[in-house]
Amino acid sequence: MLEREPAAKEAVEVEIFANLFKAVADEMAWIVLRSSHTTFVKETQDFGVSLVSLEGEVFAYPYGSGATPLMGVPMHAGTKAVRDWAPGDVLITNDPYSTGGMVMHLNDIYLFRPVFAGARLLCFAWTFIHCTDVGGYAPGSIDMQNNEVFQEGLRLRPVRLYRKGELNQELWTIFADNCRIPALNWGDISACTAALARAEQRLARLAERYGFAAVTAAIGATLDRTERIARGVLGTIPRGTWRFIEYFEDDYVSDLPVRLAVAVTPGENGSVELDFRGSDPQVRAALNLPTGGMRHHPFLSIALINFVVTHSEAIHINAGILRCIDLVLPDASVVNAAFPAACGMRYTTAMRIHDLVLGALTQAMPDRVPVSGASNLVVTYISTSELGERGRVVVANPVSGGSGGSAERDGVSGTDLTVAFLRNVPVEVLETEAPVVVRRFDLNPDSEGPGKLRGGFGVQYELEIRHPSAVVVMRGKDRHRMAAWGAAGGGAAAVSGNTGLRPGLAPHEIGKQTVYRPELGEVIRLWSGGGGGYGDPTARDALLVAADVAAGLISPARAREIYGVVLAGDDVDEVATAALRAQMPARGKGFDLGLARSEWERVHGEAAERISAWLPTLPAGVRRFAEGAVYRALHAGGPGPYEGAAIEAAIAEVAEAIDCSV
Amino acid sequence: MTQVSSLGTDVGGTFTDLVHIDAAGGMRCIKVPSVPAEPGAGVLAGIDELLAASGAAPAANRVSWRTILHAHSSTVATNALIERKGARVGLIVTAGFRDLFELQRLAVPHPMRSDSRRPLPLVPRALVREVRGRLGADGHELEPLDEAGAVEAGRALAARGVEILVLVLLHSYRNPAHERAARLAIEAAGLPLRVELSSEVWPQAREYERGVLGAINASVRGIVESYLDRLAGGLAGRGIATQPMIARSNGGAELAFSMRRHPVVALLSGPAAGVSGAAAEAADAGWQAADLMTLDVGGTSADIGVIREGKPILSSEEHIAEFPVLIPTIAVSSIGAGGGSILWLDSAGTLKVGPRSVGADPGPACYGTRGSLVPALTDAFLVAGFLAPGQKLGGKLPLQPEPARRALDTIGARLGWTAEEVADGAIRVAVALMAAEASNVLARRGVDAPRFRMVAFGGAGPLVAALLAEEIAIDQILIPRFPGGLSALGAARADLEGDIVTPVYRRADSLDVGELARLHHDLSAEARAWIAEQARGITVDRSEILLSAEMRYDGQGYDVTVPLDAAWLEKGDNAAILGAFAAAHRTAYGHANEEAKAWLKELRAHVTGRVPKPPESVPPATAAAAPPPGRRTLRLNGHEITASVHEREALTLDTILAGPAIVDQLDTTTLIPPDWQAHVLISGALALERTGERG
Repeated sequence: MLEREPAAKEAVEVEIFANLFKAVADEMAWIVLRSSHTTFVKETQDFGVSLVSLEGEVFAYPYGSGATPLMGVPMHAGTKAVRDWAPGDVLITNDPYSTGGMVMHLNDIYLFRPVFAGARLLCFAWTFIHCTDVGGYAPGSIDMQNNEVFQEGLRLRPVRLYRKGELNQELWTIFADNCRIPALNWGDISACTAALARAEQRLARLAERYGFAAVTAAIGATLDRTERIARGVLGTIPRGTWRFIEYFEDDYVSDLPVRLAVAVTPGENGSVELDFRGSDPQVRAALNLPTGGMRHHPFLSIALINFVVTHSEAIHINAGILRCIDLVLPDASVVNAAFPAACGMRYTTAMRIHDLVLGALTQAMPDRVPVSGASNLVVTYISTSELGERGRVVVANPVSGGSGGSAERDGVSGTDLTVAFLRNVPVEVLETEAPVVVRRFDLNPDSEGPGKLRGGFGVQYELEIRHPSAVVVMRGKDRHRMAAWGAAGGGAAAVSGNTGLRPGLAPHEIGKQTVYRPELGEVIRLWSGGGGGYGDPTARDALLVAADVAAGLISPARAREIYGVVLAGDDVDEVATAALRAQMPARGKGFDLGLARSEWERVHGEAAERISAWLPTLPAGVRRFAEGAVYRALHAGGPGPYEGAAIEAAIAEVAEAIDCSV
Repeated sequence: MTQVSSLGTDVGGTFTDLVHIDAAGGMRCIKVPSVPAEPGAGVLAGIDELLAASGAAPAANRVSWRTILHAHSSTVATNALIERKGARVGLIVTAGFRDLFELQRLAVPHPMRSDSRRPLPLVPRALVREVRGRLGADGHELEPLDEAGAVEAGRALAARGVEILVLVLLHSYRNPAHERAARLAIEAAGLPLRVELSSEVWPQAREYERGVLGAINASVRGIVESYLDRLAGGLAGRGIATQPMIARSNGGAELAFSMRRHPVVALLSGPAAGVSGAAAEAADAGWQAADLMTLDVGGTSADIGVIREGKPILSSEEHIAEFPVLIPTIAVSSIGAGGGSILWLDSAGTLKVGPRSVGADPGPACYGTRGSLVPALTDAFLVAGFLAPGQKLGGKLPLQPEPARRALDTIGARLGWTAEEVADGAIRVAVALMAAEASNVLARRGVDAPRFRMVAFGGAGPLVAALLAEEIAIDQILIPRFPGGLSALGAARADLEGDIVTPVYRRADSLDVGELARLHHDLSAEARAWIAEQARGITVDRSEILLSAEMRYDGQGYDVTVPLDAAWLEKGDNAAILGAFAAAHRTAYGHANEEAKAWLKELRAHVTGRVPKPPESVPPATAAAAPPPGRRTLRLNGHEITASVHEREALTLDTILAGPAIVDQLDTTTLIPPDWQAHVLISGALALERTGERG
C-alpha cells in the first residue's frame, strides 16, 4: 500500500468532515427555524447559525436556510470575550461598538456557546436572530432618522447569559424590561440555545469517534481548502484598479446624498483589495455600518463572496473566502462607523456596497457579473405596542425590488440578490397576526431596467390598516430618485416610492419617514423599482418582449419606445420591428446611471472628488457637517456645474468657519 | 375464510416492478421494462408474465387472480409535473395577487449564487386573472365576490386555451364560500373548462403553498385519469374483477375511482411505497413496532426515510420538482449520492462525489458505453472489489473493470493515488454524505440514531448500509428479500389510508367543550364517510381513525403534530391537549415553554381501512447443496482485506456469515464488513448485526 502524502490524504478527510460539520450547522438552523417565535425569524428567516473555530473563523454555515450575508463575520470578539469558558456557558451580545463591528446593529442578538469535547475546548457554536424589537425609540427599534445608537435600543456588550448552564435571570430581566415583545424574544432565544446545545452534542460525538486532533485538523483544512478555491476564482478577475461610485440619494436628515467609493484591485495569489477611501464620513442617520475597521468583513464583500460561490461548484462556504478579500476602510466613515453612530439600517449600506463593487467589476469583466439591482429593502412592521400587554410588533413584509440582468439571464423579480434569502410573510399568516388587510402584492409593470437581458421587476405592496392604534414602520427606503443602473448598453430601472391613501382623499406622499401613524382604514402603498438592464434593449429577443407584454408586465408603448418591438395583438410584427430597430439610435456599451444620478454628477462630480480629498484632513466629528456646508455654499452661489475656483472658495469658507468653532 | 392474494406494482423510469403474493403466501418479484409513452403497458405486460407463470399452477391460484387485491404506484403524475406536460391550467386569484405563482415565497433556492432563480411558475402570468372580493382572516366577508368578474376572467382564460381553472382565493381554507360561488357562476356560464378549488384540494393556510397544490392537481389530473382508464381496461380484459387501488404518498392506497379526483395525493407514491414496503419487511422479520431508518441507494440518489414504531413518518413539508407539498407525505430525504454520481476533484484537489450524475446514458465507465471515462460511484464499488467484474446490474451490460480503473486513474493521477485508493476514498466520501444527511433526517424527526435500526434497499443500498451504520452508530440492518422491488411490495401490502384536515386557528384555551366536541364530530364523520366510500368498492376488514392536532406556540412559525385522544375532545380536556403539545414540542426541539399560549391550528384525522391480506409469506426452502464460497479482495478504509463471497440463493437458515463477506443476488450485493455478521431470517430477509465493540 502506498504511503499517502498528507495533502493527498487530506483530499478525502476534509470532504468527509466538511460535510459532517455542515450537517451540524444545518441541524442548528432547523431547530432555530422551527421553534422560534417571531415572524421575522420564522417566516422571513432572518437568522443565522454557524460553527466557529477557536480563532473566530466561521468554518460551517448552512447556506440553504437563514440569512446568508453574515457568513464569515470574524467572531474573535465573541470567542475571546471570556477567558474562563466553562461547559454550559452561553455568551450574549448585540453591541457593535464593544465588539469592533462583529455585531452590526442592535437587533442582531448573537449567542456563543463554547463546544467542549471532554474537558477540552474544541470550537464555538454561534447563532444570531434578528430580534424584531430591542427597545429604543421606534417599534422594531430602527428608524432611519435615528442619529445615535442610544436611540436604537438596549445594548449588551458580550456577557454570559448562562453560566455553566445556569440562566442569569437578572440579566434577562433587564433585557425583557427594555423591549416591546419580551415573551416572543425569549421564545427565539430559547430556540437558539437549544440549537447551540445540539451543536455541542454533535461535535463532541465527532471528536469522540474520530479523535480531537483529527477534528481540529479538519476545521483548519476545511477553511484552507475553501480559501484555495476562492483564490482560484478571484484570480480570474482581470488585473487593474477598477473604480466605481454609488450613492444614497439623501441621508434622511438632509437632501445631501451619501457617496460611496471603491477601488477594486486584484492582487497576487487570488487576493483582492477593496479600498473604500473616498466614501463619505458617517452620517447622522441609521445608515452607518460599524465594521471596526476589520481587514475582512462579509458585509463589504458580498459581491465578491457571491462571485466565488457562483463560479465554484459545490464549494464549502466558510470564512476561508473572506481571507482573500482585504478591506481598506476610512475611519469614522459610513463604511466604518465610530461610536456612537446610529447603525440600525446598515444593511441598506451593505446592499448598496454590493452594487458599488459590481459597478467596479462590471468594468473589469462585464460578462461575468450582474448589473445593479433595486438595492434597497423596505422592511415593513405593524406595531400595536401601545396596547401594552396585548400589543405586538409584527413584520409585515420585506419589500425589495428586482435584481439586475447579466450577460446570461434576466434579473429576478421581486427580490434582490443581497436579500434573496428573505421570504415573504404569507398574507394568510400575516392577517391572523396583525390588524391589516393586504390589498396587493404583485409585480410593478414597466419598472425593469430594459436590456438585452432585462432587470427583474419591482413589486407593489398595499396594506390597509384596520386598528386605530397601529403604527406602521417602514425602514430602509431609498432609490426614490436615483435608480438602479444598467450596463453594457442596458438601461436604468424605475425608482421606488410610497404613498398613503385615506378614505375619500387623494393619495399623499409619505416620503422617507420611517415611523408612520396611519388613520384607521388608510391604505399604505409601497412600490419598488426593478433591477438594471444588461445590453442594448433593442437587441432583446422580440418574442421575449412580446411575452412580457402579453403578461401585462411591459406596456405596448414601452415595448415600442424602449425595446423597438412593434406588436400586432399578442404577436410580434417582425417587419415593423426590424424597421423600427434599424432607425433607433445605438445606446453604446456603457453605463446608464439614470437621470437623477447623471444630473447630480454632472453638477457635482468635480466638487465631490475635491471634497472627498479634503474631508479626511478634518476632525472626524465635523466631517459630515463640513461636507454639507460646502455643498450649501456652492448651491448658494448658483446652479452649477461647480468647478475649480468656486469649489476651492466654498471649501475655504467652510474651513474657516470650522476653525473658529472647533 | 376467503383466500386472498395480492399484487403490487411500481412503475419507474426504466423498469416496472411487480410483486405477487399468492393465497398461500408465496411471493414472486419480477421486473419488466417500463413503457414511458404508455405508462400502464409495462404493468399489464408484467401481469401477463405472472399470469403465464401461474397458469401452470393449481386452479385455485388462477381463481385468485379474479379477486386479487392490487395496488399500483407510479411516477406518471410526477413525470408530467417535472416535464411540465400537464394540462393547460389557468388561475383566478384574489385581486392584487396576480403574481402569487411568480413571487412564490420570494427567496431563490441558492441565495449566494447570483445565477440562482426560482422555479418557473407553474401557471404563467398570462394565464392568471384576478377577481374582486375578499374574506378576512377569520373567514368573514370584507368585500362581496364579484361573480360577474369571475365569469369574465374565466371567459378570458378559456379564450387563451385554458383547460382547467383553479381558484385560489385568500382565506378559502377558513371559508370556501367565495371559491364555491365563483365556481358556480363560471360553471353556469357554460365555459369549456373545468373548475377546481384550492380549498377542496387541501384546506390549509399559506396561499402560495395551497394554490400550487391545487394547480399541480389540476395539471396532472387528465394524464392520471387516462392512465387509470387504460390500466382498468387492461385489467378487466385479463379477467381481473377487483378495482385497482392506487398508492398514495402517505404510504397507503386509495381506490382509483376516488383517487382520480385528487391525484396530487399520489405524487410521491413511489418512494413512499418503498418506505412502507420496508416497514412491512421489518414487521415480517419480527421487528415489530421498530424505529427504523430506510436507505434506498439507486442510480442518482440516496433516499432516506424514517419509520417510528413501525409506521413511516409523515411530513407536510416535502417538495416535488421544487414545489412545496402540504399534503401528508412519507418524508423521504434525497441526496445526490447514488451509483451514477460523478467523482471529481475540485480546484483545491478535494475528492468530491456528486451531486451530478452520469445518468443512464452513458452510465458509469464500467458499463463501457461509448468509451465513456467519467468516473462514477459504481466504478469505485467495482474497483474496490465491492462488485465483481462481469456482474450485471439492473439488466445492464456486464461490469468492466478496465474502463472503471482508467476512469478512476484520471483522478488518481492528480493525487498520486492508485485506482483502488481513489475508489476507497470516494466510497468514504459518499458514506459521509449519507451520514450527514441521515443524522439530519433523524434529528428532524426528533430522534437519535443509536436507538434505530436500518432497512437498506435499492441497487446499492445493501453495499454501503453497514459502512453508513458504522458512521451513525446503528447496530442492526435488514436487507429485504427483493431489495429492488420494495416499492412494489409496499403497494402490495398497502391498506387504504386517507388524511383529512379541519382548520381551527384558535388559541387552544379559547375553545370550549362544545366546540371541541363539535369539531371532533364533524371530522370523524368525514373520516368515516371516506372509508364508507372506499368500502363500496373493496372489502374493508376494519377501520381506525387516528386524531392529531397541529399546534404551535403563540407567534411560532411551525406546527408540532400532537397525537390526540378522542376522549380529550369529547370532554373538552384542554389541559390534556396542552400537556400533549408540550411533550411533543420537547421531543421535537428539546425544549418547551409551559407558560406560553398555544394555538390549535388544525385538527387532522388519519383514517386507515385494513384490506384483507394473504398469509405471512414464507420463503421456499433453499437448495441444501450450497456451492463453496468464493473469495474477493476488497479495499476498505485504507486496508486490503479478503472477503468470502456467497450467493444469496444458497444461504440457509442456519448460516451465520462473519464479515468480511459479500452476498450476491440478482438485484443487489450486500457487504458485510469486519466486525459485522449476517444471517438469513425466517422471513427470508438478511439480517446484519454489528459484533464488535464500539470505540
